Amino acid sequence: MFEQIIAPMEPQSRAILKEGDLNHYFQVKWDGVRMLAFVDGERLRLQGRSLKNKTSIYPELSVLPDLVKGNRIILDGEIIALHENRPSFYAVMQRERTGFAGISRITTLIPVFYMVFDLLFFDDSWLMDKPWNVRQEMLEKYLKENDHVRLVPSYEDGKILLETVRENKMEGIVAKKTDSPYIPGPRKSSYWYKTKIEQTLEAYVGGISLKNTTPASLLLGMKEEGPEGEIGKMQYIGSVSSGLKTKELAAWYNWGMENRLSSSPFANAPLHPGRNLLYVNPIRKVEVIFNEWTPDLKLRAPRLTSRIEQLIHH
Amino acid sequence: MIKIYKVYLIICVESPSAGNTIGEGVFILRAMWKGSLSFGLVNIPVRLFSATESRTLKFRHLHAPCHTPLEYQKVCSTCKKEVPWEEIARGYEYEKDHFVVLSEEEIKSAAGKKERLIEITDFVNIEEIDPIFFQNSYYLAPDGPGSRPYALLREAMLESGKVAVATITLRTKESMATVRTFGDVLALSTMFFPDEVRSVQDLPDIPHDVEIREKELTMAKQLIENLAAAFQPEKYHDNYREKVIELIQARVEGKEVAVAPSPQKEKVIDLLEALQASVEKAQGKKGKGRGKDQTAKTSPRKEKVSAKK
Repeated sequence: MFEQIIAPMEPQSRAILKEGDLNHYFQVKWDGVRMLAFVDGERLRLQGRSLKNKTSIYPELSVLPDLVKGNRIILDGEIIALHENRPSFYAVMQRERTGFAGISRITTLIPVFYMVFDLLFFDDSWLMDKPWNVRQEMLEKYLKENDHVRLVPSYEDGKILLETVRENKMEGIVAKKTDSPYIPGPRKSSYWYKTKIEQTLEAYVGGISLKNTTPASLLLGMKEEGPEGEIGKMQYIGSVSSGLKTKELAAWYNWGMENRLSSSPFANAPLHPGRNLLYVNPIRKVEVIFNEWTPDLKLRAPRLTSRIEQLIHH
Repeated sequence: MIKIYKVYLIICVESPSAGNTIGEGVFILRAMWKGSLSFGLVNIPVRLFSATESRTLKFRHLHAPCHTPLEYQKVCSTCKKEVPWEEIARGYEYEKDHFVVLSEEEIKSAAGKKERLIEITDFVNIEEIDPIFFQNSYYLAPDGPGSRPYALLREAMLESGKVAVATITLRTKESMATVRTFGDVLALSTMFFPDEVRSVQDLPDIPHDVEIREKELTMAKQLIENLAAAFQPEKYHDNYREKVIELIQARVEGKEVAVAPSPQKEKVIDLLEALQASVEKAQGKKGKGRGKDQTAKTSPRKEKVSAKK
């Protein structure tokens, strides 16, 4: 079982909660990277959604074999990193990319946490056919928590949890049917469903894309973040045109011409085939709301919420 | 490669009057040594330029109440007076308070006629030289008629893949050195003599004969494998220096400089507890309160899951 490759179970998406849902429990959807942990005696193997081995990227979890009260065990959960006391997918991706000089530096800079929510195997038996609530009870019994390994709490009232998650600007919630078996992905299972909240983010404006000579969108960038603030070069995270009026775009363009740069302020090149790009000095931040991060760390469906007047006159 | 040559053949001098960006220098080209590189029967006239520069920020010591830069005086405690340059002699303290005085001429004469010569003695493979020997690096540029033999030596070394071991005397200090190709340039690195490299014999706490578990070794090797990459020095930069320059720049521009408090270590437990508290608060508002002993738990799952089986 230690060498087994398992695609983690995937929830379906649902925009709103079912009313009066008594057959489900609700958990916070932790915004990080999905990770299965295989423990056999003192051995540990971490496997991501891509089915690749990730053991060496997260040395914080090397204590897992000591935290489980069983010889052989498979856990499912999410690896997260925090920024300003909430999960930051961006931060955990920095760990995944290990773009840093050394693992010891990055583990101090961006510590991660394993939020465990399922148990697939214990000692000699597979538990995937057992109902979700039985697996949960076993998980509570056989996993000891520490600073970096936590159990994901389940709640009865999905509405209250969704509201709490919204207040705390977190990603969303996942509903799990009490009798749900564990059905490996990548096909999405109707036993689990997720409800997401639009996310907000502040990003730098590092350029303006032009369609012929008309300004079309703002190019957004983010600097890598550690607990001590921004570090390193600015990464391109996508462009936004939604929420921008033509007049505002023109004002942005005028501002951009005053603050233009001869070369790109981004570490990675924005992809805008057929567009001319005006690069600007990244001194202005804007707020955007967006659905989620794409796997290559770009914003999905971003919409601008800050007005240019607010920015120019402050 | 030519680009590297151009950028580095310059010496950086801090010049506060030029109105340049803080921490950046004004570039002036200046050779620090002229002589010849001797290779068999060939003598190549060369000039020597510093290849590296320390970019550590320098702070001057001021008298705090009036901000006057402090001056240093050489004072003789016997004669109770400041000592002019002509009255300074060089003495070697062979035992406490006992000196042998040598004149500048005597010291110079020990350097001998080698003074203006980089003398190649051997050609070796670079892998044989441990980096611990390397001291300072310089670029060599041909001087006057040195161009052709310079190019010849450079091509020959490039094709043979060897580096030259040489001796050089800079000022009065004789050094062992290597000469190798660096792009289109010949670079010279002075080296410590073997007796200048300290022995590791008496280092404390170095483990020998330690039993290492196969499993741990595999894990450690896996970690190394994962971090294996091409050497990309441009990834690294001096964060401390950048922060200090920022502080100085803000002060120069008359801005208030806020010093950030040290970061709090973020903990997921805090977040979990905050979430739990808001859920409980919301449940209380809806009049859906549960028993006291239940809400007090950090994890609400235990009661609920089993209760709903």
